[in-house]
Amino acid sequence: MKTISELSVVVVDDSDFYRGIINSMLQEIGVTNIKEAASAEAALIVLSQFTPDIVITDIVMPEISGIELTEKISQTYPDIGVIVISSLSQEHIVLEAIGAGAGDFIAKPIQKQQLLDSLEKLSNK
Amino acid sequence: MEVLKPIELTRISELKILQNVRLIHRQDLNPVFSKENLRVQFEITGEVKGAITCYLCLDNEDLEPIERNYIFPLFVEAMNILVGRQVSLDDELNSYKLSLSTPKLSMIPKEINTSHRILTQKYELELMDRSFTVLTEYSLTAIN
Repeated sequence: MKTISELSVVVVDDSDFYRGIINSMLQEIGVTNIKEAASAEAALIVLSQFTPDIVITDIVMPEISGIELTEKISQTYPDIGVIVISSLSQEHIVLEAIGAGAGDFIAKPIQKQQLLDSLEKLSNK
Repeated sequence: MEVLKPIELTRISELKILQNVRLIHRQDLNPVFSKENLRVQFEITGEVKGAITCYLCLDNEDLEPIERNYIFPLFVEAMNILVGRQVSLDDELNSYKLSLSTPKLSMIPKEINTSHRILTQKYELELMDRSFTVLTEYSLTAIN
């Protein structure tokens, strides 16, 4: 089991601004090995070169959604934990994310403690 | 007229979204006129179709380019979160399966007169000791 500071994380969000917010929160809670991707396609390229412990992905992105990305990660990289984030938190969306293979779901705006709890939950698996 | 105490809806970094009036109908709305507006539109698909449009009213706000570069993406993300929360917490909308599109941005250099609109909500957005008026407009139809 890795500690929080040992985790490697890829953050996927088409919003530069929100990627920045998540990146800052991760650094504040002690994660230093962080990579970013501005789309699901870019994330898949990152994953072909680097295997993180956890991927944090937004759902709403152009072309490939975060749900489709989660499915691809679950099929191709089953050891990577996926945290799905979304501004919509309707039950069907949460179930869709979990059904696609997400280990956790966080509704925006993300709070630092939620992110920490989620990382600990997935790193304990 | 009763003055409602603003309710803090959400906070992202140093931005606060305050809701002054829960729902503004045409008859009890103080018209808001604004000639320079940033418009962000989210298309809704699924069992409900339509759009939710958010306006950041920038009249009389002399923003430096560096401020715009900070405030605009913050506004877009704030509206994404606000709209997502409203849809998820609204009893009626929450019963439908729907999806939000990515936000579409544009500057609207024309007047918005909310007195002609039926379903508009008004917020105050506080950021860097400044306050901006934000309007959200719902145009949604349930698909049978």
